[in-house]
Amino acid sequence: MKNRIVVLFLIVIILSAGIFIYAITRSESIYLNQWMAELGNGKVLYFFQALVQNVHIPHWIIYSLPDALWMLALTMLILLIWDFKLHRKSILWIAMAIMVGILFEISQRLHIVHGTFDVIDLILMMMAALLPVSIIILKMRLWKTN
Amino acid sequence: MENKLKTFFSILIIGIFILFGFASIEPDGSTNTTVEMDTSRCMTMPLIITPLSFSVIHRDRKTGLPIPFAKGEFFYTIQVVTMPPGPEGCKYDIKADHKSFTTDSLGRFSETFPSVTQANAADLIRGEIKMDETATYGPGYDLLVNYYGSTDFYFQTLSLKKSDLYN
Repeated sequence: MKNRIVVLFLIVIILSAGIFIYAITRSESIYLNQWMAELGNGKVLYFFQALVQNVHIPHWIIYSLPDALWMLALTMLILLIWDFKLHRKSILWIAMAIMVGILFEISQRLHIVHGTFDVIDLILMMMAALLPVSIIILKMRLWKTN
Repeated sequence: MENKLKTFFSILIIGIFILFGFASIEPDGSTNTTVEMDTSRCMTMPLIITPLSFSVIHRDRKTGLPIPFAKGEFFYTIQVVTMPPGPEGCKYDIKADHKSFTTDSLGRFSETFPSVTQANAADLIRGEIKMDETATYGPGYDLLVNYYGSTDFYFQTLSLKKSDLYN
């Protein structure tokens, strides 16, 4: 139970980090920032934007990292639901989550979904999805060898 | 947890995350610096060559008064249809650039760029203003999209005074 709470807390932090990147670096025309702008007549949004106004943030952090954080949180949540066990059913749902991420990006390429396709987005999303899965596989192997 | 319940939660979580994904999109269909093609507009039009111009007035979000001598940047993306409507669909060629500027004592700035050639109703220009943070004011943003025949941008960008941030 304690582990679950820790993981849930981590997921909240990961998602908050993604939202934070959007809030400080993207224009107010994005839906997410429009909602953020509603908070305190834009004061919350401006407060965060002012924090990093003179800081140079690399392009991949602005445009690709939020996608990777989104994917990481989604994979971790699916793993949490399936008790961090890798079996036929859990793998199916993890694969579904990864597919959603890939389809989102490909749909942008095909202009089905608004947005700009970016290979770096795709690579970072894959890395983010495979990170928690790899940790579980590694843990399973260590457990077996012990 | 029962497997059925886990399946239900998995679907729910994926659904919520899809909504999250859509929340990161702009209503005009643009992400980064491009706007999604509106295929319903895609039709050949008479060739027009017009200069691209932008004007900005930077005001205080609370009082509406102009903010003098603020630095900002104008980003623009010219999207021109290169392939006419047909089985291959309508396709864009993209050219993007930006211009740094400082507003005058009345919080205004205007500039005209070399001519833009348009020959399709789906041709568009996406213009975005980003006003820098000053010692007194927070940053300001504004975004406009102009389609064929309209190459003038008029921005009324607002910034909030830092002292008002905590009131």
